[in-house]
Amino acid sequence: MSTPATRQQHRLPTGGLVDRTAPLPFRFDGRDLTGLHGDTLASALLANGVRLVGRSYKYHRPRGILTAGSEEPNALVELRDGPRREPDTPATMIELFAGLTATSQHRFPSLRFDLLAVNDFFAPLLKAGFYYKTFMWPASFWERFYEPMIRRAAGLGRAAGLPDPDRYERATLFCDVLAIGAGPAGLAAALAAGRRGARVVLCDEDSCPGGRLLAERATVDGQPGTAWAAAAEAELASLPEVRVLRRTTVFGTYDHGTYGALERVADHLPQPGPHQPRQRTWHIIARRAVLAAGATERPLVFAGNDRPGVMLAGAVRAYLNRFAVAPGRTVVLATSGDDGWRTLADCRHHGLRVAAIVDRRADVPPALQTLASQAGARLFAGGRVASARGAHGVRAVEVIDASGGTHRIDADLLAMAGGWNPALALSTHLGGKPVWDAASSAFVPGELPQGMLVAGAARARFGLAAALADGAQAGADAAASCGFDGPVPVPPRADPGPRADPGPHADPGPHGDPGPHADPDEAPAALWLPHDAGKGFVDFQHDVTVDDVALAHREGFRSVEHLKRYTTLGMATEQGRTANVTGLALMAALTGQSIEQTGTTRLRPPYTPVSIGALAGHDRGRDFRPTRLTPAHGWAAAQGAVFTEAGAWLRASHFTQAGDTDWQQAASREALAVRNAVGVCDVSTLGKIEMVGADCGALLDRLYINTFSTLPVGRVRYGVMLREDGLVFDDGTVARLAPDRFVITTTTANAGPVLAHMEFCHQVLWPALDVHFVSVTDRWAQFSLAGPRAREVLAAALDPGCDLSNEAFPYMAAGTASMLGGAGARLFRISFSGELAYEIAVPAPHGEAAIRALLHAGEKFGILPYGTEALSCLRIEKGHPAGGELNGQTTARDLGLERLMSKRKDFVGRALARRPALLAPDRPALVGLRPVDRTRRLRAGAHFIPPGAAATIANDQGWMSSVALSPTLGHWVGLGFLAGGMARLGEAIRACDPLRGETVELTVVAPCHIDPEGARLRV
Amino acid sequence: MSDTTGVSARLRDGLGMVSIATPRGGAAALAQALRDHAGLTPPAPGCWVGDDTLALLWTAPGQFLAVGDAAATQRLADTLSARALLIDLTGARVVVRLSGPSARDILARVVPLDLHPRAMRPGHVASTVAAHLGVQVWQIDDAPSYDLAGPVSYAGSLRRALVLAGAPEPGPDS
Repeated sequence: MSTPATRQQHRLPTGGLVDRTAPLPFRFDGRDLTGLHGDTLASALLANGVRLVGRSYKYHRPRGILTAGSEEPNALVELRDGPRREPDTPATMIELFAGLTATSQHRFPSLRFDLLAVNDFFAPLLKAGFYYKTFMWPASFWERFYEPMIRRAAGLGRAAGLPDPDRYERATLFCDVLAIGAGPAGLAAALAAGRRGARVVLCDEDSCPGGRLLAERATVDGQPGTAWAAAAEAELASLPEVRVLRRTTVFGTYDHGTYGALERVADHLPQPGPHQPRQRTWHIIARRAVLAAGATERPLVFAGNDRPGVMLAGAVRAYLNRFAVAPGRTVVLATSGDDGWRTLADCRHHGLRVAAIVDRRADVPPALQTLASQAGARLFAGGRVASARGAHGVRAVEVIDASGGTHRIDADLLAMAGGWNPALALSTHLGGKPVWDAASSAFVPGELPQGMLVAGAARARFGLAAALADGAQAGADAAASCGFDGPVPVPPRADPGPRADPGPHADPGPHGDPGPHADPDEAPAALWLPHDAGKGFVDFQHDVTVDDVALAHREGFRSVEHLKRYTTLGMATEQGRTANVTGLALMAALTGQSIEQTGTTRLRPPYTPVSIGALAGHDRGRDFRPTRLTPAHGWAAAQGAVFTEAGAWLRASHFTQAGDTDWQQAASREALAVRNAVGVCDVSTLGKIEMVGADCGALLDRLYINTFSTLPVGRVRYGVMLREDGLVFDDGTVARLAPDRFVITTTTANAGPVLAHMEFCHQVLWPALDVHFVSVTDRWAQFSLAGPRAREVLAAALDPGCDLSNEAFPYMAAGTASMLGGAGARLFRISFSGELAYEIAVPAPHGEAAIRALLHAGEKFGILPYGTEALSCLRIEKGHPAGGELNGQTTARDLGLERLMSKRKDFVGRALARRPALLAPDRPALVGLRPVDRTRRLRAGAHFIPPGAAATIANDQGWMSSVALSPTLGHWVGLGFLAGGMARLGEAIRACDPLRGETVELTVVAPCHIDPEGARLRV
Repeated sequence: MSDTTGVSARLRDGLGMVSIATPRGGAAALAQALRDHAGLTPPAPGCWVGDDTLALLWTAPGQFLAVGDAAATQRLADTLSARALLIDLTGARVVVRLSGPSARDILARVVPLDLHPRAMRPGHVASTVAAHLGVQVWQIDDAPSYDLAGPVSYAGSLRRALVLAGAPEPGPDS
């Protein structure tokens, strides 16, 4: 059994772009209703007589549908449920589909009976900025009561709270001409450019092209505007270099002809198809763009202008003509210009009764006066609306006539026509400010971004003929700028639709632009300010009234940017598209300035809301950034490695074995294996740069503090690189494989920055140097084989014929070898662990085979693979600086490496390293730390305080940079920077960690805790 | 290799790769050596010459990347050794060949390049970014077919990006 509300009683019997053979069931606030294919949720609700669709933000006033477009401030609903639930969706932009579920927001317990409507009674206390003056006392109430209370009451809509099941995409699109908006101007531009063979992209936020043609009863070239638009789209589809993107909003203008656009690929479907993204972000790079985004109608301001049933006149016509829905039965039309009168003709055409017409102008053209009397509508020339009455929907309108008398007119629909604001946001994103055109009573684009043209209503050329001509010319000009010539485009004939009787039109148009086919629309509606309309709403979405604007003025917030932020006018999801101009005009009147002097606020992308998912595309979860794997990664995973992230790399941190209770066990086990027998570590992630050419030595001498031009072939040397400001940048090794070939290593983290630095030095500072270098990090898998048995293991793993004796291949030697039956390998006898050690580089495809061969060869010695934790422990035991010490704040002198700095050559950073502060004697320098009580744990980050002194910043003498539990020594050891450095060897010091509340007594020792002579290295 | 989506994707395995740079004053000698040994004229900026057996890609002023059959690139390197600055990069890159009518649409989701025939043709090469990785893309023919080369350590991420863009999982060389 269907109740009256399910029977679409407001659907008109004929007409509209809706399919009466395809009824669609949907549900709103739990009620089952029916709409038609071609409806939006808004038109379907209106068809079913549902006018109350939401509650306002602050005062919880009942709200209905104001517009028929993306500028809708009131009818924001929660769409769908479950993980796809989406808040704050304008009902005017939701394409109806079978089974759609939507819920109103921001009301409890129901739309009709909302408890928080009590806020409206307290409105005088809740004016603009009230939160700057309240919630202060008592201070303790803020966290316990005020903040949770405000959090519950504020905000609009609720997020789904569940993972998003859909996927999103990003793609790039290049074109010669981007036409933004597929109304008459945009279609004309796309046709003009497309017919000349240019690559054209046409975007429109709507589901089909046409713009205002879909809402008005216009004719173009003798056919209905909608038919002309369809034919235009068909022609564009036939042109191979033209691409039409429906349901696509261009949301931002960026540098160099780049535009961001959001395509709602599957939002109009219950859910996306199996391989469909839900939405797609386009980066469109256009040589030229034609902004044909049209204009947004201005509401009028009067008490009750936010009631359900008060709508923009253009929206009323859209519901009548496009959706075949009567938003009401008895209409009052309030207008400030000729354009609004078109609503009279459309209402009569569709059988609505127009009870009254309130025209702000005292001198209404006689032709219009005749129309009013023919329609039986009372005409109030020079009158204004005082208020709209009816809490849950308009029931009557109070009008004040030209002489001040009041009249009450029963009506259930009030159509407001306050003029049009060009939709010029995209022209301002790069900083160009709009310009007030008094003749049009509108802001028009000012300085334009590079490559942009504007056509049609977007630059206040409001008439249909003007839009078609403007668009065609702009499209042709844009194509010509890209090298595509052709005949001058002839725009189609246009008739904007019945309004006035045909007959002489007295007004030639704002720019004195006559012509035999003067467009009657060219007389734009002036911007009329409200008269004693304190409670009239300026910004519907944020509940900002005329009184609030006056309050901001009284309190001194008079610039537009202050007005915006103090009242929150224009800060909601529609960004003030129906509010900004009215608000600033009010402020202009209050301050006695002109609108030009008052100016506009800065508009920023996005033009309409864009979901974060669409901006992220596939960069979500594990795909947020790419993952970098070493050649032996698969092997390590199979070995029970636990991985840690080092930038994009995954490195094995330690290798777990059965019975391990924590990582420390594994790390200690691995470190002991290296000290006592042999271990192997994957060090492929360290940066490797190969350099070839006659001037390698010269370049290296300039990059490093020490000298490499004198390095003999077959040798490797440790090097330190400074930044230009004299602080240590990176350290590594440099090996000379041939007179003109070197291989340098860097830390993992600095591989990219070091290469960039070297490229800068070569290309910019010393381009004459005869060198060539590239990263070979990925070309070689590299392993460190370390421990007293390392030589034996290596000899067994290499192909026969390599002499590894201490004489043939001493400490710091470099050379080549053969492995795995002929694969060319490189060998470096360097040691980070302090044990006898070799680094073996094999071609990346052989990486996994190589480490398996090493482990096989070392089995009988008890070889273990070791990870970054053990690696770290070993180097800390030996006092080698690494990440904690090379933090960008330390100098070579701080690190005890001053002796490496050559005095005979210049190098990057030499001059600034000699700044007095960097040479101060009490500057913290590298020392080793040992706990007095050997059972105490050390903490990196702890600060050094002298014994007996308070733990304050004034007494701070340095900090602990690295710590490790040494399994060899049986206690924790540390490295740190202490004022006075090694001069304080043997002193007692305290490490204070206020975060953890710990203090440890320490002794200052040498950084190298094991084998300080380095004897174990040279066996 | 699969061809269900209007595009095929295959990994080009076993390629040799050498980075070639011009020593000071050696441009003419290097060009001569390339013509004599490989029958190749050094490519202009943004171009590549050769074929699947041996291709020479322009990478920077005076710098090229030789890509091809392992033996052919080794022979080239041996011949050029005295007249060029050479660094072996064999195995350092993963190379995927995308081929088919949908290849442009798929690549448009991965790289910010203008792939339209008016802008990019067979014989063109570009350095760009795909899924946050530095890659080279060069067009092979009008199918259209493209080669996409990225760092081998990022092979997994690059292949995933291509699959998410609609390509089939890149299979091994047949």
